[in-house]
Amino acid sequence: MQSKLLAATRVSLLAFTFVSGVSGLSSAGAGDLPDFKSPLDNSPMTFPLQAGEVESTAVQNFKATGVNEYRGNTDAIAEGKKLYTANCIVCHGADGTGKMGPTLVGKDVVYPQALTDPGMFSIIYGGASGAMQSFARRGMKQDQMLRIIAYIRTLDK
Amino acid sequence: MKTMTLAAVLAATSLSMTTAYAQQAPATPADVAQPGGKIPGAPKLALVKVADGFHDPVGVTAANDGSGRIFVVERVGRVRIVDKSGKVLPDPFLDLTNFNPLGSDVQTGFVEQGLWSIAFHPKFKDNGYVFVHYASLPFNGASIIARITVDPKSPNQISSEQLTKSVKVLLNIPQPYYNHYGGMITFGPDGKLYIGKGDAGWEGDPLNAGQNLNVLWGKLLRIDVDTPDDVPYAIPKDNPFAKADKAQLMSLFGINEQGFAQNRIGSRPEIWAYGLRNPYMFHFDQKSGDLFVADVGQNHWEEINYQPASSKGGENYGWKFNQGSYCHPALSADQKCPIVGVLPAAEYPHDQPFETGPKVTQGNGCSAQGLGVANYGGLTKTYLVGDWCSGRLVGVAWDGGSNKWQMQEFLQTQLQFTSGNVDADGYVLATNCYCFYTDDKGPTANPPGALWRVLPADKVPAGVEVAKAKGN
Repeated sequence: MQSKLLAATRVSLLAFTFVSGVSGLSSAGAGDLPDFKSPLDNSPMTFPLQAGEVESTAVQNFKATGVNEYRGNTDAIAEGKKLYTANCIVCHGADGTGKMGPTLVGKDVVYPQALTDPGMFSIIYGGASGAMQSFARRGMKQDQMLRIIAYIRTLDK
Repeated sequence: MKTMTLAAVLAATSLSMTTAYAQQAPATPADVAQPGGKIPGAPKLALVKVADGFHDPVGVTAANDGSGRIFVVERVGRVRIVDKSGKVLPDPFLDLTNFNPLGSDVQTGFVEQGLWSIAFHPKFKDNGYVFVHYASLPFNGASIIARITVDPKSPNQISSEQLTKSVKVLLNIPQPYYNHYGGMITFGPDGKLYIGKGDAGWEGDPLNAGQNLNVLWGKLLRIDVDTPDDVPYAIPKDNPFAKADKAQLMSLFGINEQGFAQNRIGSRPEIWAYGLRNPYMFHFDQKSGDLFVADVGQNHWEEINYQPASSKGGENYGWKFNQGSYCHPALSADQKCPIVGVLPAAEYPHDQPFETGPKVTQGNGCSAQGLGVANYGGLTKTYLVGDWCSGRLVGVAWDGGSNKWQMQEFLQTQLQFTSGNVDADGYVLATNCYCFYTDDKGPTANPPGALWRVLPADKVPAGVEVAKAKGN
């Protein structure tokens, strides 16, 4: 399997600065580098693509900068809502405040890293504990994960 | 606040006069262990992978025949053998999906349906009897408990012909809803077959099955399987309700109230214990014969029940009056209600312990799967429990120093625990699947699960795969 893009990459500080400065959409915080890590033991994560999966520009940039370009993108958020409804709503509820699973909104999340987009991406990709299994294993594409995150952030009012 | 039952007061009083501080089910809600405890002498634990590649593994057991084989139950209706070296044999030991010419005999439409458990007769080495418990497709999801005889010439594979020729159906229990079947079957130290039966499903026990002695749902059953081939099973004479429904002449006078209370007309003599919601996994301690039952809870609390080997049966574990030591419905922490029957040894909450009130992020789960009783590495009669939702591995044990039950979290893993048992060496085994409610692609389409062994962290051999976890 390919490991085209390295997680927690430290290579694109310039790009990060540029993108965050332009878009103002950074979730990682000014001056931070994207922190992709396991919610269980904080070990660094990598995100191999699935067979046949094409890495979108948004995903490439996100891995380099931690900035989710789909935030505020109406079409991407609409797609993210569909994906959330299909994959997340049963456990986390329509409003993201949690049902069988924990809340995704507010500050009282189970895993503090869920407050950042790289942290939430790491959880969706690799899973957290128990029933919060890896969505990559379930066949979800990384670009779809970014769209879901963009939608979840709209719930966090 | 919860109130102490009169029975609990009497039990506590009488016990304190005789066997003070002996290991026992809690007498008051305050004695029920909750997350945050510490089991004296407990080591750090690790989950070491034994084998993987199983389709929705939901049960596991070891043959008591000296072969060292481990049998992993796949929900679809197959049983796979892991040999002594850890190799998974290519052909299934048992296959319920292809002996019926019309297709599989196993209903797997909902994730709680399938083949759940197998049990080997205490004299398996001599008689080759293996027992199965599964949801039947031809019988619209009914629970089938059947005996199949292994051909000694083919110890690692029961052919379709052998299955068809040797099968003896013991029980066919209709199932109105597609959840809460229970599942595990195992032989007790008394040689009787114990069967965990759920309350028949939906939610809230709409049939009031847990408290209704006239039905087999919501119970732990106990039957004698050593009967002639034309007799499905027998009722052990010492079952608590063995004679409660006996034919008799009526006498209104000269009988005391205890005598009248023994008449339970219509009650099922198979019942050993009742008031259970979904006892999917339960295990006997192989050393003491004590019994632990992990009763899967509803929206708010999971409970782990304890029954000493000296029990005469008949315990009422409270469902649907209570969840753990709390009320059902569980509205708030200060809600008052009677506590019915025997309290659990331990309980842990879901992320929202009550319908009103704050959420928790520590010690919570959603579905308790008992794994087995550990007596090694500093653990003594410690019931290990894995949670299906949170991936937590906890232990429940009696703390003789402080004379109370303790529940300690050892690890939080990425595993969805489904089942467990002890291997021939007494080590606790666990299985995990990727078959959650919201993501069930079918029993052979879900990502494969694995078999694990729980070891003290300092005994993990070099070069083995250890489950990713935080904890200890």
